Amino acid sequence: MTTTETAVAAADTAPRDTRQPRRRRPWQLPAARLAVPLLALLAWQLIDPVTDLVPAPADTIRELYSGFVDGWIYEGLRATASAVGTGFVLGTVVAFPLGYLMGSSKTLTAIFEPLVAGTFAVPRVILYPILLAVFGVGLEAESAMVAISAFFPILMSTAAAVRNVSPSLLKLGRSLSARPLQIARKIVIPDAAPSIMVGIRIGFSIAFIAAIIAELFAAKDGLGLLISQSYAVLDLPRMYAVVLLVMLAAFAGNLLLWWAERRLRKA
Amino acid sequence: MLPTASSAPGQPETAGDRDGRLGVRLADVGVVYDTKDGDSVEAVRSASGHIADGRFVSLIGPSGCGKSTLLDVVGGLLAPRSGTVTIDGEPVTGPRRDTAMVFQEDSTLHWRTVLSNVAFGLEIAGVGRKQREAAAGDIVALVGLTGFEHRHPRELSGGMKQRVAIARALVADPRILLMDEPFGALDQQTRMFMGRELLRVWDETRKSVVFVTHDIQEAVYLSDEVWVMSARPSEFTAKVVVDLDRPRGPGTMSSRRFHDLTSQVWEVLRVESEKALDAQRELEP
Amino acid sequence: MSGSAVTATARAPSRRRPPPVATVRWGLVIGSVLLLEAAARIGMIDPLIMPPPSTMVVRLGEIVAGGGFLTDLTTTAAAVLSAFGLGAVGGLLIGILFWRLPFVGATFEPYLVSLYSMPTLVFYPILLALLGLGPAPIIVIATTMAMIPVALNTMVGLNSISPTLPKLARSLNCSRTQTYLKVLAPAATPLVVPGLVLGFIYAMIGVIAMEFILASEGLGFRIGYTYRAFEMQDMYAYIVFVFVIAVAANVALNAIERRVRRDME
Repeated sequence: MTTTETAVAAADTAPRDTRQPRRRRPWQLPAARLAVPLLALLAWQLIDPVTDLVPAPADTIRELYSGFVDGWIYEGLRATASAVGTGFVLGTVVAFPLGYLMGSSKTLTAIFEPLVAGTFAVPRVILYPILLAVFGVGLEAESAMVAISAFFPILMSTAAAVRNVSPSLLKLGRSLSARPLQIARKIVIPDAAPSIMVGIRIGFSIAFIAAIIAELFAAKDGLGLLISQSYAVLDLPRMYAVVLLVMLAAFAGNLLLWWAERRLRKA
Repeated sequence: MLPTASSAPGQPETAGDRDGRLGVRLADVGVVYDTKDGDSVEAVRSASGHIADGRFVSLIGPSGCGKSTLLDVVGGLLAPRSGTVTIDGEPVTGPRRDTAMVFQEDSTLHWRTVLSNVAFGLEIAGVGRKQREAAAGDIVALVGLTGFEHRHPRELSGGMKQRVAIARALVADPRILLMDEPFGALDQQTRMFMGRELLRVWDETRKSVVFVTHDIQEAVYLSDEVWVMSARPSEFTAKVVVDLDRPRGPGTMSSRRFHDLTSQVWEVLRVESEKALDAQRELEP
Repeated sequence: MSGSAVTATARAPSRRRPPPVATVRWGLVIGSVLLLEAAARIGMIDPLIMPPPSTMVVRLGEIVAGGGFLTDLTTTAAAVLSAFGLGAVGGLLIGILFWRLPFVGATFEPYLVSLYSMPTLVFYPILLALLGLGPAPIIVIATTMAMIPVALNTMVGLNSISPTLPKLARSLNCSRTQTYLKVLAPAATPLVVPGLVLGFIYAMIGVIAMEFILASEGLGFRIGYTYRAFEMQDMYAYIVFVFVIAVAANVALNAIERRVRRDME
């Protein structure tokens, strides 16, 4: 991992404040956390009468509901979901073994890590026109964009996780004459799994964002396209409805992966 | 099995093994390892000795003297640069089924239960589930973990995790236990208690034990012999035979003989530790 | 006996020289570029899909020499710097606030972390409507992206300061300012600086990505524009330029970060 990525990981798992804060009842924090989206919703409601540019939350939710009932949303939702799904699976399937290989060899790490880390700051979307040139507008180009975006974080976190497997566990494996496949299956992968999951989660977020950008730029279908189309005809409730759906989908995907990560960490 | 009362360095024979063929034999073992910077460090120069079958031998020495390295060599994890290690006359060329190791660092597999941790070695060896879990269950009881079979390591204290590690080593019924400062990360009380537990288990199983430690009292309390290593590149400078009666208990440590033996070890060790410190000082002007 | 001797020689890494890693690495990179060049030259790659790399570089030279390029570059650079500046100041303030008021920090932290992973850029039509077409919506979104890592790393950096340090400062009768400037700030720096580096990178990614979909100027816009105009050589020239700039920025920032961390730790 580059130092910058380590910093992200650190932010994810850093220990809580060690200072003793004022005593609070156990329900206060969840309550405060719950209040944040409610307050945001309230703010949204309050803005509505001030400007024509923002439809009321109720109108937005009604529009989103109609999207499912009348069915205008399915085509876009299906397109985005299949692009994200295909690309994400593809990116993971390629990144995981390569990351494993890289993490288990000092030489491979020394050769490739600087190259991968060096491109960390390159906005992946600039590659999208190339993919469009190769595949044409459609699912293939978008899936490829998603796969490329997911690939790097998963590669780097898998390599780092494999590299960080506790030496005493590896020593144990050797002292028991475990075969390489046994060491991989019974020691390295279980020990590295939570950290690999962090990469998969970050990869998913980035891939999802890439899919939406790709669709906003050029696509035949998708939620991003729905946003730009409804913006073009100033159908604001519909636009907000799709924006809301995109945020909810991203949130749900993250929550799921985060939950999987927690389970792995506990197990 | 009790050693003959003799404090002279030597290699007492065990009853059924007059020619001393059984057990671990080190012959002029030298170990060199390479650091990350590409330098070679001579860890062990020439170590020789014989750990007779069923004996409990501690290796003690100044920090960084290569005692853990030497244990890795006996365990077949590291090849010596020179000399040979033989077990029952056969040269050690890699990890063997009749040796088992216990490490200082926590080496429990945190995603497995206690029982499954203990059974791990058998699983690797391809033993079927029923059979290995039965074997693991017996050993879990032996090391006093009954009732914790289905707990995960995160629910256990440091001392209990080391019990798991010891149980895992014992489960395949090895003849030789190689223990690398197994209690080094524990607090003093737990450490003494674990030492007593180890002796209880050892009394029931009578494995040969090679026990690396830097704690003199622990070494004397547990062992039949304490081998003192010199500063790096190390050799054995003294082998102290511990002629304290077994079974040993709380009374052992307050006995006069115990104090004599610990001071005897300390005398040798003090000289070597000073040498090691001097060597460090030379490195940092 | 012979067995152990064999393993000894097998494992002994004695005089083997370390593999020339850098040579292999750059050999691979140069090799791939040459391979692309050859494939494009002999027609294995359709020139409409990808011109030879040498053509991209030549074209880039022409673009840089011609007019207009500087406008795009300065537009993008100005947006990145504004977004980073605003994001850094905002992020530091939020981080300090969340550290001083742990309850507030604990309340908002999960939302801040999930903002990381949200496609906040879908709000751009709203910003477009509110702020008009121009640099403002791009800067707002890039600022948000830059602010989050700065805020999180500042908070974590301050929280991870050993409680002994404030105790030490008190025992030495440090003033409040002294405690902050001479003890807490330096102690938190090793984590704050990576946050700033990330913030800069995210500002850069955010600006270019947003330009790509909604601007009328800037390097990101130019990549999208040349694609739509089927000017493939120009498109590749701009992509190469952005790629090189981003890699150079990353390398430079990491060097700064390493330096600071080495000095501070």
